[in-house]
Amino acid sequence: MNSNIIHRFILPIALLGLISAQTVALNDKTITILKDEVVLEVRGLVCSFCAVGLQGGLSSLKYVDKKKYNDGVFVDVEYQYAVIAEKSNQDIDIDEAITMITKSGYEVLSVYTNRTGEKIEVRKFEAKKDEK
Amino acid sequence: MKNSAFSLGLIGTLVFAHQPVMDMAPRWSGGYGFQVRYESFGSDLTIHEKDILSSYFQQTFWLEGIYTWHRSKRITFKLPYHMIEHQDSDFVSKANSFGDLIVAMPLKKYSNFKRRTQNFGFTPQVRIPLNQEITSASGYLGGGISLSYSSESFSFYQLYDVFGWMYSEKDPLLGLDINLGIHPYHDNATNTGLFAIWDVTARWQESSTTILTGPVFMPYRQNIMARAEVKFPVIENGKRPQLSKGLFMNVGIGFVF
Repeated sequence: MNSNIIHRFILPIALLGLISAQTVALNDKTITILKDEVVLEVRGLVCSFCAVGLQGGLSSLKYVDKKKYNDGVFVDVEYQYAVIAEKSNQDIDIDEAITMITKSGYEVLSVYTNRTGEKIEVRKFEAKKDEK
Repeated sequence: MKNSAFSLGLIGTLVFAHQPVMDMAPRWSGGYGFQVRYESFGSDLTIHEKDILSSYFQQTFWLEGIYTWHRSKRITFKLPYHMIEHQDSDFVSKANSFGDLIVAMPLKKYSNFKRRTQNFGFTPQVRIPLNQEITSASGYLGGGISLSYSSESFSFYQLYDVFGWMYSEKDPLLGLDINLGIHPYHDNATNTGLFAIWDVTARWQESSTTILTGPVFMPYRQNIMARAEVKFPVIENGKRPQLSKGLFMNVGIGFVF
């Protein structure tokens, strides 16, 4: 009986709590930030065909786990964010990723990491009005 | 009136103004791409009189390329290979040859907004004849300027392009292209999708006005994008007898790296 209660109620609630602690709301979408991933909110990232260039650039970064997603990078053009998968216990150079995204003609508004697996860290950037 | 000059001068001016690759990419510094296109148009219908036994059909293969050294500065080329079949009464001529090389330098100013990106474009371009012979489609030295605006959100795409060309041996040309479309399908996992667009193509010369319109479909997958379009003439008039442009078809495939 006790075991049934644990499985049916307590465990799901505990898992839900754990998951909700590891999520952020990005452009009206809830995204889970995993331990070995970096999530970047990218303004202007709506051109799906252009996203290929961004994917290619980010994939070439050191310590990207190319076994995940498309060569280690997932781009969502509907909600305007990119996810970079990192190799286990090896961190990508986030500043290099930001430079690459900026060179592709977009703006990084925020970067989310979850290095410990327990706490999400956020870096926010001020949006430029426009770019040349 | 049935000499070849009237039809040659008037039908071979359907300038395809879009820039590779499909007006969209590459947007990133150091990106490059190329595309090949096949286009055809022509008819045996005159827009003034029904009694001229004449016809003009043109097919062109285009090799086009682009290099983006900065997202605001690009250089493009377009090299055509024309296949023209022309008939005036009993006289039939067929000609296959490379046409005029077009080199352009699109300059763009991008702005990113929440869930939308846009750019204003200014594109100086030159048309360089590769051989001495003047035909309906080639042999004209020219210079052109294009002003464009493009905006894209996840669901909608729009492009407006106004341009003008001055030529050494024929009337100047003014053009307007409008593309309004939707983005009905996209899969983030594979970067595969489709644009469905309505195209309006207007061309004005001293001797003629032409407006064509029709649907465009642009599927893409990763770094490959295709464009297929069919356009119908809705307005064709001019001061002199001339042939209708007929049905315009264009299919192409482009690659970016």
